[in-house]
Amino acid sequence: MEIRKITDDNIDEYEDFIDEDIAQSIGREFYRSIAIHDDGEEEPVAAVVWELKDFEEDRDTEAEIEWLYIKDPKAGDMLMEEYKNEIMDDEVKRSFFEFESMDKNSSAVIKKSGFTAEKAESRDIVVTVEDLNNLSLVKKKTPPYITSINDLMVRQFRKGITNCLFHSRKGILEDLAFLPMSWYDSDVSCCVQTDEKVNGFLLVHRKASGALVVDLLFALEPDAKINLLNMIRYSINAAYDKFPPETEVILRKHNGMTEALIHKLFPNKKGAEVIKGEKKEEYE
Amino acid sequence: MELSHRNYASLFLNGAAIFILLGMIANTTIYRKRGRKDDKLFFFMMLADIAVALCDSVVALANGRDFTGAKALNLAGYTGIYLAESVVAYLMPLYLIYRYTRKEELYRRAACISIIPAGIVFAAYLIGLPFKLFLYVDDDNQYQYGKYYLIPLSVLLAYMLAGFIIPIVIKVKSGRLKHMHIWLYLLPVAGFAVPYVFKLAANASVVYAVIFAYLHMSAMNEEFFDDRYGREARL
Amino acid sequence: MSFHGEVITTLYVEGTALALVIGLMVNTAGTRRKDGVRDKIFKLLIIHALFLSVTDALSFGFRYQSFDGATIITRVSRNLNEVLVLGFLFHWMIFVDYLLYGSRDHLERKYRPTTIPIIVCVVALFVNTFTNFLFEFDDNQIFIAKPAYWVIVAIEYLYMLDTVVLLLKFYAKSSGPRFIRVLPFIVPFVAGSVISRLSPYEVRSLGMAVGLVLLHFSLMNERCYRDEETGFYNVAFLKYIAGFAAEHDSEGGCSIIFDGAEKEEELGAIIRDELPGKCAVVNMGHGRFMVLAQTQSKTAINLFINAVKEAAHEENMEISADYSIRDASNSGETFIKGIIEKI
Repeated sequence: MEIRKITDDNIDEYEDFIDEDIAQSIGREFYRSIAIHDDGEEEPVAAVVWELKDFEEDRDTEAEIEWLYIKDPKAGDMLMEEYKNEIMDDEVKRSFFEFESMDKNSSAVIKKSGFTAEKAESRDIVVTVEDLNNLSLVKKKTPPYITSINDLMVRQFRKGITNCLFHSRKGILEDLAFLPMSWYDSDVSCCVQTDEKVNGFLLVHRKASGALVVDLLFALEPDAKINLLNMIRYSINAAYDKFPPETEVILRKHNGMTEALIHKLFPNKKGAEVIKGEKKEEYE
Repeated sequence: MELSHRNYASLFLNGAAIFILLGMIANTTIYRKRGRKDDKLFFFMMLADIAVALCDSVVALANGRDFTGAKALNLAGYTGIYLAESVVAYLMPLYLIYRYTRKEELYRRAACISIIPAGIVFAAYLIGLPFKLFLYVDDDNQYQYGKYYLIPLSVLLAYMLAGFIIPIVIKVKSGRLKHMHIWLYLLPVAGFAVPYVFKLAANASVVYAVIFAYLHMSAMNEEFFDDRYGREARL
Repeated sequence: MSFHGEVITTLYVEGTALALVIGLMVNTAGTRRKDGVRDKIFKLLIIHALFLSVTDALSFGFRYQSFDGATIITRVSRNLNEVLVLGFLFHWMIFVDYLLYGSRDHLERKYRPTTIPIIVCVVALFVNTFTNFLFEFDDNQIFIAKPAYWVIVAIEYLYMLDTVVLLLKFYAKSSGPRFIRVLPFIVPFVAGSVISRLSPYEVRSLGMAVGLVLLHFSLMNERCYRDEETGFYNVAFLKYIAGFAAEHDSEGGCSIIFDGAEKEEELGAIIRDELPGKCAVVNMGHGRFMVLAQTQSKTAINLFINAVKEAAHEENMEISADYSIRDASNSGETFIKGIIEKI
């Protein structure tokens, strides 16, 4: 069996196997992926995609397994062995995952390699554009200084991102500093400019599958809270104009603030049941 | 006996003076830390003026009243005003000399010479009390001027006049003192003279407080550190 | 013409207020600060205070006078005085907000609607000059308030309360050093206002003048830590911060030093343009600048350095940059002192 790295140069070879949303992320700064092939075969028998978290920060580096494919359990064991070697180089201290479901092979392999696995509530809340449009906050008018990111020059956009990072805000993106403006939907994503500097963003990415995901919601003083609401209003209106009402929107509860905000907007919504697992990584 | 309008005026103006002076003391901490003599002299002038304001307030509350200890308080306050004013009068010319010339020798000579008359006035106010020479309080607990009150007062006024003339001389001789608007000081000085038109006493503490405020405002317009980037700052 | 006791007291008080305000005007003419907005608003406040003292004196000074014109002068002065108080408080709100946030766009967005009550009050006061529906004066030129007048008073106190709330909210969130103290203005102003309402004397202008003087001292104290030419902090600020850090040890921190090789003005302008929020910049002299920030993210720091270098390259400048991130085992004071040694 041979081990191959999946990169954006060879991703086309895997498009029949890999989830389209995950495929879209291959090549991003902190995404890594490997696949196991039988000798001479083009079809992989096992593959894994993971993202490094806090890689360039002072905190312990972690890895989130975003996608796992195991056709052959023996290949799966080899895959996890190779995964461990890869993350050892990056000094990963903890691995974790959240999957909607796991097949028997994946479940067995993951448990064998030392992961816990249990059912839990997802950190993601999935709503539709229609649900968002029905919120009462949408009824008010958006002020003219909330604009689409289309109105920004690349340099202004970069300055705004730098501003975010200096305030230790990166949303759900580890590679916020490296993603181009084109990663985000330019009509639905918006910003607020104060004194010719971007001091607030709502960045929304459209996945390959068509779902929208809120990548970053951030605003600085003055008027941070008011601007956050204004940006949410703007984006919802833009999404309603552009996309069908049944389009899914993924809201991730990645910290206390976003959890509180999501709960305020959708108090009765809960995350779907998923399988979560983790493992502390130790190396000899 | 109720407080008169004059007493209320005293209290408002002394209150304002104390506020300004305390505010200036708090805001000149960084000035005192830089280690210059004139900043320290300024500090003591402000303390002395606070004493003037407090003593004046005591007089405003005690003068003409007949509660227990009112007469003693009135006399103590009244004397305190003039003692504190002699301190202000002594320090003011020294402050101006040091600030605008920075000549140690000149400053030391002026300090040694001018302490003699100021010291004599200070002692005279105290010694003259039992003899009612300069200040006293009558049987109705009203403050009064003694027979010879003009003598020490003239000395104090001479010091204040010196304080007015010194910057003019420096400005004319050296062409410096761009930030000092000398005509401005006529305003508080008028605060000494104008009340006499209405047969009132001037409120010395607030007049000094205004003068000190002007002095500090002009000091703030000068460069704080000797180098532009503050590299030599001692904090 | 003879004057009653309370009139003389008030005139002396107004004279003192006027002397203070004139002193402020003379000493604040021609400031050298790069950011003129704050100074312009402060000068407006001084002008308000000047005319307030004059109109206070005029509206009070003719009490018990019976000559023709005494009533007219009193009435017109008092109405003008109330307009000036509203104008002062409105500009005061803007001043405090700008002091805290330094944002012109924010001022326009937030305070445009708040001009409406003022405009309504000003119109009402103009109408009152002819109709006396807010207040009037008796034969001795003594002020008599009518019920509608208290609406104007309430609006005045609401504007003042707004600034207090703004300050308290800001101080609750921010933990950095505060050079400029605003509360020493509020205390004498409110004291003067309350005494004026409860006593036969008018001392509001004196409270206002004293407050402005103290505020001016505070503003000028901050200047000691500023390099006048660039508007950035000077090296003395670092020494002050070391002392502050010793008392209030906070997390995070990095310092980035840019060296523009004597091209101080150009590099200063680039840094100001690219600077993210929550950073302090120290002008170390000879074209060197130090940026102090709370972040410890190498990604963020490198992004910022690259942006500055790119902008400098466009100006045909080659600059160097170096940074250090505060170690977890270092106290804030040790970190800053380590930086000072590099100067």
